[in-house]
Amino acid sequence: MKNNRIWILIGCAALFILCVVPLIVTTRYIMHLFNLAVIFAILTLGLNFLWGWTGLISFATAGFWGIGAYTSALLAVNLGVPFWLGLPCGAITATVFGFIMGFPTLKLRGHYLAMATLAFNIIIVLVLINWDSFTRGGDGITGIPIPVIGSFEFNTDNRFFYINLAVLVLLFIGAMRIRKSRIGRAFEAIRESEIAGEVMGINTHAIKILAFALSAFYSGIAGSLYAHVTMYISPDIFNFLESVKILVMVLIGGSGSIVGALIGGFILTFLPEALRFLSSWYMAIYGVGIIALIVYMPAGITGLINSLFKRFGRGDLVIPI
Amino acid sequence: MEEILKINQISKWFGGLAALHEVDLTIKKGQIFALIGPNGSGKTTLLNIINGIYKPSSGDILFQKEPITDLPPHRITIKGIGRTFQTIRLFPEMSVKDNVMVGRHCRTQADVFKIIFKTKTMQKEEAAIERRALEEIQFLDLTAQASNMAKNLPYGDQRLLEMARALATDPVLLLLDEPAAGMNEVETKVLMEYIEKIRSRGITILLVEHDMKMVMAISDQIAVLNFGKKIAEGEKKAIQNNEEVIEAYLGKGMRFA
Repeated sequence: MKNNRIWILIGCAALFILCVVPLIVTTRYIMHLFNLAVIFAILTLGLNFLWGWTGLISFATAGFWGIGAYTSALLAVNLGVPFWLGLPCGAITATVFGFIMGFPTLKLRGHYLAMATLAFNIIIVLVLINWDSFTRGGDGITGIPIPVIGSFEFNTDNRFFYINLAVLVLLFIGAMRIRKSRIGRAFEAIRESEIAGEVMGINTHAIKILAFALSAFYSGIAGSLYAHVTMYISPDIFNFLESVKILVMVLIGGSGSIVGALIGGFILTFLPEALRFLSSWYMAIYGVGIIALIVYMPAGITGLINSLFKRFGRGDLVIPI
Repeated sequence: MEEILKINQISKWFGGLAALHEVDLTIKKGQIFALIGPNGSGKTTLLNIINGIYKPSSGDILFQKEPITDLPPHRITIKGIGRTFQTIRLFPEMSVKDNVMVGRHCRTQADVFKIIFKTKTMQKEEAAIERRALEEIQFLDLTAQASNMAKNLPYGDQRLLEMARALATDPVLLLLDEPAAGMNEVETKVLMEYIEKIRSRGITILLVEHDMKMVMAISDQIAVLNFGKKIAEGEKKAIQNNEEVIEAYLGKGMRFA
């Protein structure tokens, strides 16, 4: 209990700092990175449902992200639907696709599931590129309107950050509640032993589809946020390499940890920028660094923190979620 | 006494090999029914068919007079058949308490929306899940281990945890697949007391076991499988003196001690 209180305090402090960020940062680019970090944190939270808890690998995250982004952007540009309505529409459309992808992949595991989800992501991008008349093809969609409340316009990255942050907090709480519920336990049971889960009376098919749907829901929301904060989207943004990146974020943060998802999302958004001074060596060092992290820290950053706590006899302080 | 499980002419073929051949069994309410037989005689296959992991090649199964042959495993658990495994299948990276709480999944309803909005009914249900899980943990004397990871338990406790988890699903019939495997004599004796304790809750038990001493000590009824066929069924005495059983187990001309 005491442990939880400490972490709630830390969480509040982190939230406070994030609230202050837009007041301090004046560089447009840096603020944009903060927005991207939040969006990637949401994507990572979403993938955590599949990979972190249920143990299902997915390379389709960016595909669902794209579906959310295109739904919200097309509604806004073609029909003048405001962001506040476009966001739930994007989320719901992505969720529907999550269900659709969940069904055929029920029997697949490991490499086969990886290939199927990869193919799904590639198909989504190909459709976005080639269905010119509907998606505007490879040129993408420009002029996506900014969110407005009354006469207040969220027209800068600094202002938009508060929308992102509010959504992140809500989704964080949602993930936390699901994690500590009968459904969260069912996800984990499937990861640990699918047969035992089934014999415990868990409808493993339904729960796996639910994991896909929830993951897609989170990705769809991230998509809508992305479309309206950058005001421009094109198909290549949502290619499967982004899915790989999100998977790495889950691993680096600590697979299965909600706090880890946030850490992973933020670190991998800012790290490439911090490494820019390496110029042409950058990709090589970035790549080696990630491999090293995964090999030597299989439980990610939160896992490392927890094992340090345990080593120094403060096992009571481990990150609870 | 009332019939609880009726197995009719169950056969199971794996390729050209008959793992089970026209097996009949009837288990009555409140019994400890033991299924014995040499290695590879089809005991675990039969358990896997009862709880739906395998589908039989022919034959059918009635549980409380309802056919369950075509149901998936989780539906069969909901009907009231619990199970433990020969090779332990816990959720190793979850706490003992969480392991048992998973057992309550099929008896609870809260959906994603109720969970996200943390409704009153959901909170009540969650509290009830926890309470019941702790009761089952206490029932099998695992309370001191409740917050430990399942994978860190000693072997014997892992076996008990499997039972606690199965009990949390409210079984009417509990299938125990070699619960004494790997246990010494003292541990086996303790285990037998727990099995009696479970039976005294009114739960019928189907026990698959190698340990003949244990089987003879606690079973009401025994069936013997050999090469996928039932070669004998009856009470202890009859089984002990059955020539065919003795031959299958000990070789010709021997006697049970």
